[in-house]
Amino acid sequence: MIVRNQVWGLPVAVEMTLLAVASFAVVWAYIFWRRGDVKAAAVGGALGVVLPAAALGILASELLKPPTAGILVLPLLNPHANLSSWMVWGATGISLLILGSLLFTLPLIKPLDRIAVWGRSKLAMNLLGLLTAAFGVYVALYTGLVLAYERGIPFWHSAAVPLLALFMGVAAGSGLYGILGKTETGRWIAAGSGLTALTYLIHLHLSSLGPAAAAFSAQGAASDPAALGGVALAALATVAAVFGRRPGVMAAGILAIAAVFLIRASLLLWGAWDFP
Amino acid sequence: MKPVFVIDVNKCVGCRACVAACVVEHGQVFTAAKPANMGKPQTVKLRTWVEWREYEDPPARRFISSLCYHCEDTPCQRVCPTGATYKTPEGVVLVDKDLCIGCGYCIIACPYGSRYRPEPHEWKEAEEKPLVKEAEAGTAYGGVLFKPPVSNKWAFRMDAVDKCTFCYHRYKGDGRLWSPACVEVCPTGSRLFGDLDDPNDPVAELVRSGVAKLARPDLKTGGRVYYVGGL
Repeated sequence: MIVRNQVWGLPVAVEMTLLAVASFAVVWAYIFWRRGDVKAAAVGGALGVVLPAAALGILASELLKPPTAGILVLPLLNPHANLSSWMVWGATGISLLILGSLLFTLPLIKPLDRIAVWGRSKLAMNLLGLLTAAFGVYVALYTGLVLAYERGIPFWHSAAVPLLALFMGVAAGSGLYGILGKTETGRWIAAGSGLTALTYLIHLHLSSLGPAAAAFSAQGAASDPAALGGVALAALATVAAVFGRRPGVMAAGILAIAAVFLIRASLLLWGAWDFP
Repeated sequence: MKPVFVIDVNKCVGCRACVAACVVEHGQVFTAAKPANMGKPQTVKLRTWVEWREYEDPPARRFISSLCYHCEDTPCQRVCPTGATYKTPEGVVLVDKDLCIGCGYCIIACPYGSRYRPEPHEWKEAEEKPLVKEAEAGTAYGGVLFKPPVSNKWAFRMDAVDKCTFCYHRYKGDGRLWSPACVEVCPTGSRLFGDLDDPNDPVAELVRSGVAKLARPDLKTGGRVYYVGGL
């Protein structure tokens, strides 16, 4: 008997989209800081704090015990934490992303730079920026690994899902800076969106050849406006961004983030089990 | 002791006495029985449930009852972030209701649909439209029960994921097999409970002889629930 997932729905899709945006926004923040564009770096860094914190808030609101949500902040420090659970490693990565972004961004904002004295050391900022960027990439991958790890839902249990999550991170994080008018992100929006669309299409095709539940999911998603719209928007973003002009890149940024949300929602909502 | 559950599909008549016994024993919200919830999937599922399958040639209807399979290799335990899901020395998979935060990851990971998350809308519905309004003791638990549940730390709670416990609260810790509520009430003997470590146990013999089989051996999770008659 095939049953569609109703446990992780739209709120989780929103949460994971926010994480996707933040994941590569912090990578770009570090790159812009290296280039001396402190203002642009501060925006990405600040969003590296706000968006993952909002994502954890959404996750907390989805729990049956919201007051225990604090457990999701650096859960590795919790004596009860189950280290074989990806959620523990993911929530730890999200917490470290928030912490790293905060430490990286504080020295970039006046007058907070007077308190954040570590900002005066280039080495410290380089280390912080690199670490935060690494946590960003890790969080992007995590949003796929958390789905792909177990076999319960065959549509998710695929190596394509973490890859898809990584490409969605590239598209959404670069898309954010595209919206801010940073034309140098255009190529990355194009690459991220193009690879997202391509990977999702391949994933749908391979799933349609797989076990019954995966085939059910793939057929459902392939006829779903969310999936089709997501792929279409990602393809449009690729085309718009590839020319590298400012209005095109800005539009591509919006399209890329919208596409990431739609594809993520379709991936989550079309997950299905095949119960005995 | 290694408790094992055998379901003889050929003997099940679909009376759902097992479901009722389980609901009463553990105090689950019984909104699944409401017509408005007919056909709704796992979120309104109970710890044990009975489905039927129809066949055309020859015309037949078979009732398939299910519960947690208490896997040997437990995906639910692996993904639980707080360590709330654990296994007893006897191999019974349980949820520590205090540790469970209700993230739902175990439900996602379970390939058998054996876990469910009490949804707030169900609870609200149960409070506002109790099926048995006169049962005052029951109203404290949602207004839908016939008697208060047997008090135990694995009983139904609104704030934790719920699943079958093989009625582990009935085990006295003396190494002797207990009898789950659903097995006690099954009128046809379709539900059987035995001890795999007991060489003279007739239920365990069904498993050892290969008459009773796992529902999905392809998933390689193992388990303590076997079926006679196939699915």
